Amino acid sequence: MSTRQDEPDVADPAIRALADAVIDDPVRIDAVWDVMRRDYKIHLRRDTDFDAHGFVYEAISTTQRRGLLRAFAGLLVKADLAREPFPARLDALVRPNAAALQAFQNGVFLPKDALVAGKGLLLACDHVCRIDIDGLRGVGTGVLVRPTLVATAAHVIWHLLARGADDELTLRADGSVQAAPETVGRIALTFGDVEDYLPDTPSDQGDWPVARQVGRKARRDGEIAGLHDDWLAWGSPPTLNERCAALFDVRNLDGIDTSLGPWDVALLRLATARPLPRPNLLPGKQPIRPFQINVLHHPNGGSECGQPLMWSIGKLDQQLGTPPVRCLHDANTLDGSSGAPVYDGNWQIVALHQGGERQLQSYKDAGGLSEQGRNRAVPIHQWCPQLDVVERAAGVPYVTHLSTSQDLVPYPYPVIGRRETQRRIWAASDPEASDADRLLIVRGEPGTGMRFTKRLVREMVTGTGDITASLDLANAVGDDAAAVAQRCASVLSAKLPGVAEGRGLTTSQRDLRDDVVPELARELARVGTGQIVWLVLEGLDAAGGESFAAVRDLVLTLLRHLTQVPSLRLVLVGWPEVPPRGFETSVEELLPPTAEDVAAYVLPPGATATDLVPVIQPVLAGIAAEGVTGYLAALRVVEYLRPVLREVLAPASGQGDQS
Amino acid sequence: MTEPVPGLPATVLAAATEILAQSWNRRSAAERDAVADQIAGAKPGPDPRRSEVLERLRGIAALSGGLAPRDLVRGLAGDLAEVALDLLAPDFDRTWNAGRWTWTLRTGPRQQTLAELAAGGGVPRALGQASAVPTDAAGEALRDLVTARTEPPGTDIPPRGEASSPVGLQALTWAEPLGGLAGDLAEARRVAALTEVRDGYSTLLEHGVFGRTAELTALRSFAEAPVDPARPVPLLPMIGIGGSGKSTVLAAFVQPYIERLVARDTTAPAVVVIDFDRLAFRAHAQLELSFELTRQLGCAFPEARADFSVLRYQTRQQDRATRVDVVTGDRQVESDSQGSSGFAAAAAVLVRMHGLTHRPVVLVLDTVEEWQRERLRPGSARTGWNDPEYHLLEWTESLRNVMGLEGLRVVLSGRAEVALAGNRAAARPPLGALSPAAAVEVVLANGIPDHRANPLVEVLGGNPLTLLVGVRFFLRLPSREQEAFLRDGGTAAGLDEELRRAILYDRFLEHIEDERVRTLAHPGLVLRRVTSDLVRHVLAPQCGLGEVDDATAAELADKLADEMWLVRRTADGLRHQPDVRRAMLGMMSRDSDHAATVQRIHRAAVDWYAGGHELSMDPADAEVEWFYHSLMVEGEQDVDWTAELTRPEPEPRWVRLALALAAGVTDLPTPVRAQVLVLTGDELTPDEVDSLPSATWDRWMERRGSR
Repeated sequence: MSTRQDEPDVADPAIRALADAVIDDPVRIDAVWDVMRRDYKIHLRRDTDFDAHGFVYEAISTTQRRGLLRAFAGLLVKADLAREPFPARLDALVRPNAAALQAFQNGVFLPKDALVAGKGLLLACDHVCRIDIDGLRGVGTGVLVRPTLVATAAHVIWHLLARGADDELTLRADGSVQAAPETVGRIALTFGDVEDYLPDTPSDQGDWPVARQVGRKARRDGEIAGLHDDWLAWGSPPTLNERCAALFDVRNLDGIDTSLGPWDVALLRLATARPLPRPNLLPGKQPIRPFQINVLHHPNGGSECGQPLMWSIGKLDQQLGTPPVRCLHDANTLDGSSGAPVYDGNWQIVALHQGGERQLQSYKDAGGLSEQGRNRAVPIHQWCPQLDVVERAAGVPYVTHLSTSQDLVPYPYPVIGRRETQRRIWAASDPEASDADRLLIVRGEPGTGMRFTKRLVREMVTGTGDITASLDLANAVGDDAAAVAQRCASVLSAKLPGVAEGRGLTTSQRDLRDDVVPELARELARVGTGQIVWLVLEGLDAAGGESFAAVRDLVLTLLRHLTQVPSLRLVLVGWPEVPPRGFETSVEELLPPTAEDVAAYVLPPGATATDLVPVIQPVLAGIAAEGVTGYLAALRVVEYLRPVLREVLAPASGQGDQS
Repeated sequence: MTEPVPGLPATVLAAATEILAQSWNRRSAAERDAVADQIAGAKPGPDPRRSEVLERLRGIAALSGGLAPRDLVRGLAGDLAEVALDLLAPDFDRTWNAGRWTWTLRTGPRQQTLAELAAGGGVPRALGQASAVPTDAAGEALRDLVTARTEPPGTDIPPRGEASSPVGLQALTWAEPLGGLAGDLAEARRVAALTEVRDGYSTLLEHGVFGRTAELTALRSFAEAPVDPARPVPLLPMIGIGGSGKSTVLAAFVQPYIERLVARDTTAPAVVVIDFDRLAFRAHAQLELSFELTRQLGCAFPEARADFSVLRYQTRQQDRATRVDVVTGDRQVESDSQGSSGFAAAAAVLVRMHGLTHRPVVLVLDTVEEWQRERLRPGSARTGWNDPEYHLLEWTESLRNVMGLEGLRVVLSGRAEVALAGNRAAARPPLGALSPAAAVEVVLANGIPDHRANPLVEVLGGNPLTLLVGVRFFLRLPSREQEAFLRDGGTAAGLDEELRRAILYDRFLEHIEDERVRTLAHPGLVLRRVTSDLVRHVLAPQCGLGEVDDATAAELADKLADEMWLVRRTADGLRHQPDVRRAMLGMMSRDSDHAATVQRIHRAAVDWYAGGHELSMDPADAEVEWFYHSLMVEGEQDVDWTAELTRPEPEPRWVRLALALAAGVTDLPTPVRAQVLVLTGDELTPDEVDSLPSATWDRWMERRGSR
């Protein structure tokens, strides 16, 4: 094995063994490594000097030296990049007590594949949030079910729901509950409130944060997820029994219709998307027979600061109704667990925890409960069909900063405008997007930020597990179309085998159509197996404002294969040609930021900009009169307003938190 | 607080403050805290990417092409090198090829770096630093170019890449921000565009062109003859089936003209090659055709190049401004057509201004069958406004009548005849097989030893593509197998398979976009005629298309008809183009993947015609079709042909049908064909004679003896 391309083999056998247990998928390893680089300021890169396997070795070696191997291993496991016997080999490199991924030791019920279980647990931990209301921490638990949607029990947000004069719920036309006015400031969602072995802040000693607290637990602060102004996307109330604080018979189904519910569920809309690499809901119906469950929850446990993320194991052993409308389980829960995801043994969500007899008891008394005592949960299959409609209804989760572009100053770099581009990226990120939506042609005058597009793409799709790659074809003006195709493959660490075979019998144009591009399409499809691949091509107008024929031929032929590669998203920056028929709507002409764009940047996500726009418009006009336009003009307005923002956001100035 | 505009009323800030406070105060304290750092705290700080080390490295990269990242940071301490590469990485294209990483600075950072170096006088220093870092050929050419500019006048710097080569073009493109290279870059782009046209065909000429002297002479005469502007635009068709060598002839035809244009020979005809294989030239996109024409005209007439480029740019801008109105359906097509006409009128001004009116222009339209396929309205008849050929010819007329290119003449190369109104075309026979002598030259040029050339040509025949595929196959055989191959008359299954892949699949079927239509073509075209009824009742069930209704069957037949190179419309349905059928049928019938399907189709056709279902043709003709398919069926059937055809006196009905079968007899398997030919009294080849059953042989001999 070689670590670097031209260095002799010198390898630690234990590290080599662990590297051998990592799946050879360089593009996805890059995505995992980007997280490590960002979070721990590591500068090692695969694309400087390494083949795929050599890089894994070097990355393991680096993270081990810096006490970060567990974090790296966790990311590899979560990304499905580890195979047996990865855990055992990991144990050989780190102290088992500290390295133990908890699920590896879990054998309460049916034996599970340890690695799969551990992966599921680690991934699930990223998706569960603590719900605070009116300053009270851990009122409930929520779980990310779509990149912008968090599911919880409706009774968790009961006091935030809109009511009429008779105190009855005011429902929308579709029967959904709705939020009471001015409630967005009363609720906060915190992801990543966990105890961990790793430090949660960079070390003060230079730029190299080292895990100095190895073996000691520390609680992370977690990450607040901003809510959309219209934060309650959809909800179905609890029954009368279910919203009572008193003990009730958990088998009672009074008031529940098998098709209409209610379901005691609320879908909370986030302002920006969060990473959800793959669906986490059980696609079919849950088993009839009793099965093991895992509940991840934030019980408040009477603590003012709530509890960090907890894991309870139990079994779901009774389904109520036909089809089931509620189910019973025996996992330990407490106040604050409501809305928590109930996972099956494969870490797919089968239900949301609702409440029950046990939650009203002291934890230490739980063992004394009768056998019939059970906690109650709501199966997901009745309400999850709402998700697709609800998710897209609120439109685009616009980004205002680039967290993935650490090379830009300031960091995080502000995004002012480009909302149409974001809308298109959002539409294209739909797995079912049409061919026209999967092609983005971005054009604009110099200075409108065409080359910024690749950063926007990366920011918006990285969290969903998509792959992004970009290429400047102004560096390929001497290439023929086959060589350009090879470049497109090589930027994804792929190659085009067999393209040369059989050539020379016809024109290069026909070779391109019959051999080269089909081969490229197959390779892109291979790289994109199970995930979306974004290929951003720049410099398409390098022939004096037009495209070179080689590039034109390649792109147009590739477009013909777009249908055959449903995982491909093609972004053509500065493509000057007329799009082929069927792709007319794929073109975006970039425009400079408007007053609406500036307002959207300085206002809370999703907030209406109607009042602020008329204030900003004359300011922009005044700046334009001085000859400053476009992004620079917008930035001047933002800088003008920045002190105001600082003041408004200062802790003492808030009125919204009514705790 | 800096006011964005001097004199801004205080009320503006007050209003903004109030709105922002109201909006943000509605949010939770936790959320405000989280956002505070991000939205209000981001301050421009010192940019680590602007450090001296990184600036130096960026300068080296800006004066390089692709380089190995480790070479770029060689000499830096390990950690520092790692940090530097990490910070620089977003500025580079990073590709993994042939087991190595290559980094190439992107356009934006390169332009910025070079501009800063030029402004600060830092180019020589950066060049000196770069010289120690290995780079690719284009990077070396860039350094030579920049070195030549920084050396005192008169210093001899031998360039490592011709300015007109791909490497030189890349170097000039990179060096553009240094200024003063616009003329060189424009010339390099011109030459690149010309050579790109040439290179697209160049592989076909690698081993020479043989046996096409007459065609080339005709083409050159056509290109250089004076044009009478009072007559329609002269057209010269060059028709031939796939693999007959049309593109090779075109390549040999245009190459010398392109060389002259590259050398700025102002007496050379301007050659414009438009290959409809290029997807940019979709049907009904005459505007794109006009754009391409002016692009290539600009290469031939450099003095007009910039003006044509500006015109295209302006037209595109105009198109973008109005695109919202014309994004769908026919409006788009109409817009293209109108746009083409408007563009041609504007280009006419430039044609006159630059004195191009009478310059000879040879427009070569290649793969015309691609254009012929697509009707404006697929459901409507292929006539008038819905005939792609009409639009193509109308466009060529507009080049003369609107754009003013009076020296224009057009070569039409394709697989299907073009209906030429007004008899404007010089008649040319289809491009056929090579003569044996020319075929021998082809195989010799492709590496076959002298003593093998003639026997190999006897086996392979004269189709150029078959020759090339056959030669490649033959050269891969061990020598003793070569001997056996020639001895057995080239019956190796491997060759059959290669020919099928290279010709039937890659050259014929690959041309058909619709997968269902492809299925109808192979194996469906074992039928001699196709109608929508036959599609529905015979082909669809046997070809895996399942049950189709009348409308779908009609649509499929209609789409098949669009493949004009493959089939032709006749009064009794679509019929295979005879020369294409000759080329395809053997490969189709020997395709083991479809052998069972072919037999099922023949059986179904026998049932169809015998059952009296065919109402669209004369019963006597339908009986001939029945006879044909019945002879093609292997195994048991109602008529025992072996017995029937070997009788001392076959039924007159069979003789009548055999005579009516005419050319179709060549499709039959050799033993069956031989017996049918005995019925019709036609000549037999030795192979056919050998295949006759003894009873038929006796009859045949008796008849020969009586002559």
